[in-house]
Amino acid sequence: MYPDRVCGTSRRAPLRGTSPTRTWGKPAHAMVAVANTSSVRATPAKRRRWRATDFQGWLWASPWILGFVLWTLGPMLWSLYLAFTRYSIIRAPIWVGLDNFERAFQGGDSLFWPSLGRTFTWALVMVPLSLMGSLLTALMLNQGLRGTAILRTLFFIPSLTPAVALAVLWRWIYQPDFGALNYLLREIGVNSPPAWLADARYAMPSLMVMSLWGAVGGGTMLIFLAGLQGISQELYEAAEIDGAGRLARFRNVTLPLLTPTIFFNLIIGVIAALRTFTTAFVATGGGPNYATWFYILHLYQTAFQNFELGYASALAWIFFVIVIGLTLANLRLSRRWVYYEGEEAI
Amino acid sequence: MINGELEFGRRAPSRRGFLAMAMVGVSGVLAACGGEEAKPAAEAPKAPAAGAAAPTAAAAATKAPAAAPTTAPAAKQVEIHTNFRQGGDAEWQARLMPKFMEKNPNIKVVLDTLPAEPEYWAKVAALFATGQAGDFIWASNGNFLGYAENGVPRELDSIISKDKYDLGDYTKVGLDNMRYQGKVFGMPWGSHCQNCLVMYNEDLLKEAGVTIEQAVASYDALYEAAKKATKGAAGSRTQFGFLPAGGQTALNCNLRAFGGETYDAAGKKLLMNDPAAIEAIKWTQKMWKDTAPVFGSGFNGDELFATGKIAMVQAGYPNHFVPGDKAIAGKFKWGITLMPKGPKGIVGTQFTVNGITINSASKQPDATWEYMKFMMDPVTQEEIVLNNGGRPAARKAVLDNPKIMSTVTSHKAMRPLYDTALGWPAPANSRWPEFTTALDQVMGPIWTGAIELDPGMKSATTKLQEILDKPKS
Repeated sequence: MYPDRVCGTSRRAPLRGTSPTRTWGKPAHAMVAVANTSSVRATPAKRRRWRATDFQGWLWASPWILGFVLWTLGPMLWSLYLAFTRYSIIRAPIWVGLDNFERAFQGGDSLFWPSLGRTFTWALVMVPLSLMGSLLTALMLNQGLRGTAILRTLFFIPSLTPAVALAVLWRWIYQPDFGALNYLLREIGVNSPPAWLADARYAMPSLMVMSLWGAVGGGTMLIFLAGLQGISQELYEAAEIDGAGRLARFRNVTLPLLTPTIFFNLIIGVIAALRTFTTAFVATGGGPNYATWFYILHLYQTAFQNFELGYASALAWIFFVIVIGLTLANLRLSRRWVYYEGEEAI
Repeated sequence: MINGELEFGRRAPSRRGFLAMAMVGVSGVLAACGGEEAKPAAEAPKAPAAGAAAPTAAAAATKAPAAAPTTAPAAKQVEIHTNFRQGGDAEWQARLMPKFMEKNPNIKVVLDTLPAEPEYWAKVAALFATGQAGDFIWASNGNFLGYAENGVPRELDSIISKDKYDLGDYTKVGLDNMRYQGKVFGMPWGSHCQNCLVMYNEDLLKEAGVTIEQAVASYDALYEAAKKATKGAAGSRTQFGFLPAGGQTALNCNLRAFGGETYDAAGKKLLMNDPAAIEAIKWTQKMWKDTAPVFGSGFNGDELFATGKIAMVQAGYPNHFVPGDKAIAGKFKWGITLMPKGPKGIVGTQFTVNGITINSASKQPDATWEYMKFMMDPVTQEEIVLNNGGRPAARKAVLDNPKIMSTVTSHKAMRPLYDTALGWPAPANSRWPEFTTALDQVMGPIWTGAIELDPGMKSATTKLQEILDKPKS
C-alpha cells in the first residue's frame, strides 16, 4: 500500500470530527476510515475506534447487503443449481448434469436458436435507433426554445405509459380491418395495407415502432439531456470564437463530452433490448408463427407454462453469460471512443 | 485486509475503472432480473358492488338426490384456505363463503385468490411445493392431469365412500374428466361443452337474406350464410359474417364434427393430417379468410358482436353473459343456438370441467370436503349459475334445474349435448398448455392465408408432434 495515495487522494490530515463529505466514488465513512488508518495505526485504543466506525459503515449498508444476498444472490445461486437439474416445481430437482445446456445448444429445443437470433436482431435495430432518437430529442429540447417545458413533458409522457397499456393501445392502432393506421392508409389510397401484427413479415417491425414510441422520449432522453446540460458553455463559446459552426461544435464539443453518457445509455439499452418481453407477450403472444418469440418470452413459457424450471434456469444462465460478455466487450471497446474529462488520453 | 484495515487498492481506481466495475455489476443483476416489467400481483377479490344483483332465493326442490347430510361439525373451529383463479369464480367464492360459515360455524373459510391462467397453474405448483397451497384448489382440465400426476389433489373415492355421498346424479363425462388412473380426484364444479354454440345477430342475418335455421343446417350452409353477411374485401371489412373460435378446444370441436380429432386417445400421435381433420381445417381456414376479422390481429369478438359488426360468433357457454343484453342494449335482436352437425352427424364438443379438488397435503380434508359438498349442492349451484358466477356442475339436478333452463339461453341450447359430449383429450405427457399455445402459433399463418394449406400443415404438424413426443416435464 502506498501510504501517500490512499483511495486516489493525497495524504491528508485525519478527518476525525469533520462533517460527512463525499469524495469521488467513495462513501464518506469509508474515506474517514481509510484516512484515519494512516495516522492512528500505532495505538490500540484508536484502532478500536476505527473498528467501531468500520462496523457502523457495514451496519448502515447491511439492509441492502442482506436484501441482495437473500433476494438476488441467493435465488441466482439456487437457479444456477437448478440449471443442472430437471425440476417441475412440485417434485424435488433431479440432477441431470449438462443435459439442459446440451438440449439448448445441440438442437433439442427447436425454439432456442431462433429466439436468440430474433432477440439479437431486435437489439441490433432497437439500440441504435432508440439511442439516436433519444439523443436527437434531447438536443432539440436543449435548444432553449419557447415552450420547452411543455415539449419535454409531452415527449416524456409516452414513457410513463405502462408497457401493457401501450401494447393494448397499439394493437388497436395496428388492427388491420378497423385500426387507425390502416384507416389512414386507405384514405391516402393504399388499397391493401398490411396486417401488421398478424403478419409474420411485419410483426417484428411493428413491435419496434411501438417500442420506439415509448423509448425515444423516456429515461434515455432525460439522461442525454442531463449530459448535455453538464457541458460547460465556455467550451462552446471558445469554439465559436475559433470559428466553429453549429455542426463543428456538435462534432468537436458536444459529442466527445457526451460519450460517457452515450456509453452508459448503450450498456443499459443493450441489456433492455435483450430482455424485451412485455410488448411481445401482450401484443402478439410471440406470434404469428413465432415471429416475435423472443428469448425471454421463451424462457418465461418454458418456466411457467411448461413447468421446466431446470431447463429455464439453464436458459437464464446462458442469457446471463451473454449479457455479461456483451457488457465486458462494450467496456473494452469503450476505451477507444469514450472520453472522460480530466482523464489522461490513452 | 492488512492489520485489520480495509485495503482499497494499491493504486487509485480511475473513474473509468469504477464505471467498469459498476457496469459489470449492474448488468449482471439486470440480466438476472428477467423480463423488464414485473407482472401485476393478484388482486384480492372485490366485494360485491353496492346495488349489484342479489343472489336469487334458494332453488326450488329438485327431484335429484341432494348432497349427503353435513356431518357433525368438530367442536373446535378449523380454518381452511381456498385457491381460486381471479375473476368471477373467486368473486363468487367470496359471496358464498359467509353462507357456508353460517351453516358450519366450526369451519372458517379463507379465500386466497391467485392470478388467472396460465400464471395460476405455476402459482399453485409453487405454493404446493412450499407447503402453502390452499386446502381447496380450483383446477380446470387445462392442467388437472398435470397436478394429479404430481400428487397435488387428494384422491376422493375414499372420502366419498366414507361419507356415502351419492355420485349417481353426476354425468359420466363430468366425473371422467376429474379422474386420474380410474380414481376421482376432483368434483366437476363447473362444466360446459366448449365452442359448440353460435351467437347470432338476427338483424344482420335478415339483412343478408338468411335465417339462423338455414345458416346452421350444415357446415357448408354456415359458410354460405357467413359470406352473405360479410361486407367488404379482406383486410378492409366493415361487417363480418362469422368469427370462428381459436385454440385447441375450438378447433377440436370442429374436427370432431367432421369425424376428426386433434390427437389419438393415447395422446401421443397427432391426427390433424387425417382426411376428416383436413376437411375441418379447410372449412375453418375458409371461414377465417372469407368472413372474419384477420386472425390474431387484436380484436375482441364479444365487443364486435355487441357493436353489431358481426353476424355470427362461434361461442361457448360464457358468451351468453359477455357481451349480454346489457352491452347490446336493445340495438339488435340476437340469440344463441347450436353449431351445425358436421359430416360426422354430430355437433362437435369437447367437454370441459372447471374442477375443485382437495389438496393432498391438507390437514383439514374433512372440513374441506364439507365445503366441497356445499359448492356442489344444487341450491348453491343455482345461485352461482343464475348470477353469472360460473357454469353449472356436471350433475343432472343442476343441468335440468328449471330456473336455469328457462333463464340461461346458452344453457338451454347446450343442455342436450351434456349427455353425449366427448371428453377432454389430454396429451400423454400432460403438455396441453404448451400444445395449445403452439397450435395457435403454427395455425395462424394458415388461418390468415399467409401460408398455403399443404406446406403450412406439414410444418404445423411437425412442430405439434414434436411437443407430443416430449417427455413429461
